[in-house]
Amino acid sequence: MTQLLLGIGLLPLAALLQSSVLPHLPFPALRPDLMLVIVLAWNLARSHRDGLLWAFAGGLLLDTLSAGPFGAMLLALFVVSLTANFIGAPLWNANPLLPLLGTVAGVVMYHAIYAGVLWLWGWQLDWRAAAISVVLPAVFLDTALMLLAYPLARRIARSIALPQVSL
Amino acid sequence: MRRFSFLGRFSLGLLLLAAAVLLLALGQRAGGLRAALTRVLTPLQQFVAQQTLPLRQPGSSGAPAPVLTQVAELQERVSSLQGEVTRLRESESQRLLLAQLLKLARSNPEYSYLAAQVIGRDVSPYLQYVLVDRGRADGLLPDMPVLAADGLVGIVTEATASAAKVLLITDPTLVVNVRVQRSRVEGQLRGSGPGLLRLDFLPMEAQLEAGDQLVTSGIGGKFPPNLQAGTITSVRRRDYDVFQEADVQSAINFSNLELVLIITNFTPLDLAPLLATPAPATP
Repeated sequence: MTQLLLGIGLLPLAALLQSSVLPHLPFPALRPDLMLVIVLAWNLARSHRDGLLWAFAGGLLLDTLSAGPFGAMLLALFVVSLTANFIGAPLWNANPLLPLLGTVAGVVMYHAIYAGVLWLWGWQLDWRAAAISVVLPAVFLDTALMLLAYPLARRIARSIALPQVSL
Repeated sequence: MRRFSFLGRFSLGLLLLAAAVLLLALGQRAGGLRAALTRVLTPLQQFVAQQTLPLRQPGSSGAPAPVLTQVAELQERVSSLQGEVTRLRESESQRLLLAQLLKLARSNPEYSYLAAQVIGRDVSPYLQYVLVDRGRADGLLPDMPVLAADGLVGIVTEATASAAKVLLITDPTLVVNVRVQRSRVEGQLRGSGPGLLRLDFLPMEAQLEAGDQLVTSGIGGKFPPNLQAGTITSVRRRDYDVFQEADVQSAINFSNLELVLIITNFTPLDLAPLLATPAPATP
């Protein structure tokens, strides 16, 4: 229940900030994928069903605030989250570097899937420019944000986890 | 126990993945869901946009001067006055913007305008769209041209009851037919990245130079003629090319758009039937 309420509060806020505030920061070219970072951090920290629901809801919200094909961001965000979720929190927690490597891979995967869908739907993309001016800065920014988001997500995940009782 | 949990998660994951693919495949047919979500998000977005206005206008943020005294009464007074200054600066900034838009509207009195506030940008870094706080309920329709005080902004592509999406001229998918004011040469202007524009299909013999002003030509019927579109910053003329091309700078700061004007009485021409190749006559 807590994680559901947390998602209901956090995800729309992240979507609105990503649309209305982040593009107006001093360096408009540097736009972190706030929703991706939050959802991915939750899936890295906690391999439960709620992480998948967060990814689905977050993707829907992003698609609502975008003029791209409806479902494109949802698919990209969901595939990345699903992969992180299925790999499992125990593995991600095994080494402090693993969540950061997972973030780098996740960001690249997210952008590759999203740009691929755009391309399939007939949008014109300059792949080289996209890689240099969008994906590369996003990898650095999102990974930097993950340094804050992942420990926070782990802390929250631990505080709401039910105590394990072995019989 | 853990295996059951994984199986449940696995099933849910596959189910949601299938739903995501289905939504993508449905495309426009899932427009009802998108419209419903937009109806919920638009008021929230307007609220967030309003609350973060000082952040989006660095020049008018009214950063507080250092408080020089620790006396509580004076601190309170200072903070109250600072709040007042911020509000006044905000009003002044809005007034200046509106005055510029009014000047623009007066210079083209043949059109009817609707002012709209930019409440968000596309969350995708690959797409150059903004969201405005006016929609079908205000008379907005797709294909209406959008202007700012410094020239052409873009075109309305989608409108819900209370909000609309505007495709910016910096998006590579939007082509604007323009004319170089000095030499009367015509070309096609299109986006080439965030905030960047490129002018193509310029004849090799055309005399162009940095500083030349561009206006819409009206050719194609998508935009009204004579709207300011940008300034040439550099020209590339290579012997092996068929056309020359130029880099263009718009006077508009697309990353900080606040207010725009939408031309509501311009009807784009549908030239498709005229351009269609007639079928050969059968003997």
